[in-house]
Amino acid sequence: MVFSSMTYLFVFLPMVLLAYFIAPPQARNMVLLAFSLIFYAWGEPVYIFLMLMSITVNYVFGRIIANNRAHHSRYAKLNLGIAVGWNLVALGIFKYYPFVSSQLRGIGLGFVPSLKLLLPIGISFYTFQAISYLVDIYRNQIRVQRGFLKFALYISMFPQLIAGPIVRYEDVEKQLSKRKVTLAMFGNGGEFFLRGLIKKVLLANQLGALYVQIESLGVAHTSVMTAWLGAFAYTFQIYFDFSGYSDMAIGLGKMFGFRFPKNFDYPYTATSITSFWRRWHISLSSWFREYVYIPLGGKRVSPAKHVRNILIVWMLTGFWHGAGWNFMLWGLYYGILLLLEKYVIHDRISSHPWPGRILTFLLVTLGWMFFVHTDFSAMLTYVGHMFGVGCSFANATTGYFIRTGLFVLLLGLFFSTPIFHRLNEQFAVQYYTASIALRIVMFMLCVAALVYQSYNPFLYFRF
Amino acid sequence: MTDREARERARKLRFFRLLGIVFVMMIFLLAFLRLVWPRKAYSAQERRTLAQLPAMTTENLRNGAFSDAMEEYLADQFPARNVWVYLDELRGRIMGEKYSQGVYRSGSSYLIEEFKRTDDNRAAKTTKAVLDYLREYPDIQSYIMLVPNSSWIMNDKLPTGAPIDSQEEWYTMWAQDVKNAGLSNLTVVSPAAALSAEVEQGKQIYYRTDHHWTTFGAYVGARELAQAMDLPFEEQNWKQVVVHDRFQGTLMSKSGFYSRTADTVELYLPDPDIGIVTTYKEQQKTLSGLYSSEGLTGDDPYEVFFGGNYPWLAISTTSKSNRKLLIFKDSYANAMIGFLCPFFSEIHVVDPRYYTGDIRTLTASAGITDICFLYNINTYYEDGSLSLILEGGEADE
Repeated sequence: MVFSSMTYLFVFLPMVLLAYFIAPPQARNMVLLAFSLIFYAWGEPVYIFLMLMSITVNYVFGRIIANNRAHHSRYAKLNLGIAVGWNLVALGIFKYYPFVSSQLRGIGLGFVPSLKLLLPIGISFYTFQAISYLVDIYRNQIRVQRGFLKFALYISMFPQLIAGPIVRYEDVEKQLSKRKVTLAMFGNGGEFFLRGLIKKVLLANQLGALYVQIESLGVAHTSVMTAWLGAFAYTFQIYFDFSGYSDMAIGLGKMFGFRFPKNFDYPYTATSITSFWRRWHISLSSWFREYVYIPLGGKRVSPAKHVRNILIVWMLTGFWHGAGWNFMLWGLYYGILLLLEKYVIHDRISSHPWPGRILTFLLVTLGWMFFVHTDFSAMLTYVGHMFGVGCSFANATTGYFIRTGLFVLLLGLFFSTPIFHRLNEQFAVQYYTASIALRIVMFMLCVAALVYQSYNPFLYFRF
Repeated sequence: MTDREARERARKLRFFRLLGIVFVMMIFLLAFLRLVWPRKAYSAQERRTLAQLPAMTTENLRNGAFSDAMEEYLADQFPARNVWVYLDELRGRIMGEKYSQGVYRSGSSYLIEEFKRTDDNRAAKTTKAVLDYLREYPDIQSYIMLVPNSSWIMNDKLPTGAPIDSQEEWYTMWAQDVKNAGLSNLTVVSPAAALSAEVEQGKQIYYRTDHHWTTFGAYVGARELAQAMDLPFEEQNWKQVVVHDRFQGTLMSKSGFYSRTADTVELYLPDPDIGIVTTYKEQQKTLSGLYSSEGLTGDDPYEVFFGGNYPWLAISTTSKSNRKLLIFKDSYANAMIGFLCPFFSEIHVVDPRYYTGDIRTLTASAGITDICFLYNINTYYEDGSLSLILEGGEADE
């Protein structure tokens, strides 16, 4: 189920709110867990068994590791290895096997059986949560969760279940046992949720339509400028789509008394690639830093090893986003950019933020064109158009897309900066009735768009 | 904390408390309305049956079909659905959107369907099948008329620079190919110049919100065709009757773009009247005349012509002519066939999208003297069924 659906907004959400707040406090975890499992099973019920198995395995191994980490550290380590291995194998089979087997068959290894598997929703997210939990226990950074119900809730909690943020156990440990929701906190959650819904339904979907229209232009109509407009449209689309989902998740968390970490911090205002990745999908990049990069030695090693570490981390980051060569390329692209930034450019252009900001934004935009095209020849054609291969600089169609798309692109630009949020907050404090009225209108526009759009997939579902 | 900060904090808390209440009220109000709102079976605006509450089975629960059907049901039966759709259309208009589902909103009141050259080969295959078929009947006079759509004739009404492919370009190439095939019994009728001339005179060739041409447009088309067929068209008088004056068509439904304007639907009746009997061959029914009052009162008044599209119609007239016509057609022809009736004693109308019989048996048995292919360019370009029925006969031999 996705948040921006009729089923969620007008059936699931009212039911879970009603059940949660009617239930006595000691039963509330149970209510949330039950609804989370329904939420997960909705649409793809077979994988509920995978989810339950994952919860059980990780719960048991968590306890084994905790019991042995003090006195039998080797045994604890062995169990950590088995448990992490189990998680990775599950992820590998369901997410990567179809891709890997088709590649192997492609190079003549016809005996490799092909297998058509639907990707279990959210597996990339909850697998990473489980791994972080196990490793943190092994490192003695957290206490083990003895309550099976609470642990199951940590893994499967519906707000962040299918598209993050990847919540570390220590962030919610206390709240799993004891949490309080005030009306103001609930309202604050509502604010986040509405913001996310608006980002997804009113911005991302319109930007997406613009991109699709430009992407499908034949060579007779496209031009350098049009191709860049399309690339910008996608760049904003994916930001609003994904950060909108995170906002909704954070907002829902607040409504039930959980505080999830921030996942985006105005990434398109970053002045360098390094800073971009500190602001984009923060919970994922910090996961890779914590559990891959630093264990490999981070940057406290020889430059050659450092280069190796960066490239490994970024290939994996790319591959996490999808089973396809284009995601690998996209990850590698960032690995190389980060190395260039670290070893070649240093601080040479950071004396003034704007050149770095603009360059970073353009590089990120280009990167998304690797990301979005799973087909290499389509990727080459599109990126070629951006650099004038086989098309003119601008034509009448460019004018058409400027006239019909500029407004939504400018909105995208505006909402990508902190300026809007500052204004919004001041406005809310000073004219709160007007602010409330504005939110009602925006919510109605979201509902209208949802009624109109029967087609409404979440981009981040693939992961 | 200073007084001012404390005040701000208090106001912020008050804002969030109020928002919390409003949020819950919005969700629950709509959820409640949804529960009690009467269910509808059909949407006239969208011309489709609306989804109903799906039945739950282990099978559809397991494969996810139930959740899809549920979402569809909730969206289709949403309280005051049309009002929400209108609201979203308004938002799109304000945000400058001009394109939806293959339809452009023009500056004037016209909605214009796009033309996309996705696959020239498909149309080339159709053309080859047509030519091969006609080669088998060198003694039958044959005609092919592809009618331009509004994206060609009313090209100046499109938003400037809209990335639409040129029908004219494709048509010129196509007409050249047909000419190169060198069939002496085939005449290509090109109505574009005549249609453009009428548009310049301020005449309405296309419906504003529908993809069809108006009856007047069909009249102009018939005039061009009649000239090629050497029919005494100019001697015939027509009586014009308005049968509908609130016509809003398919392009509006398809795009969701609202247009306040409505068109009139006219019929041109031969004057003096002639006798016409239409046999719906596969439906086993025979009606007098060409027009359907049921079609007129339904959701698509264009169905006044024959009541819609049927696989095979046999029309016999009281005309003294000894010519018998076979037409392969799409719905553009429906408005035009009436103009040909006074000049043929029999007209067989085949819609390849629905026809399943053997076309060669029909051609040979009915004593056909003329064959005509009558399509609008969009359908001819996109639809593969014509080549299928023409080739199907060959495979049987």
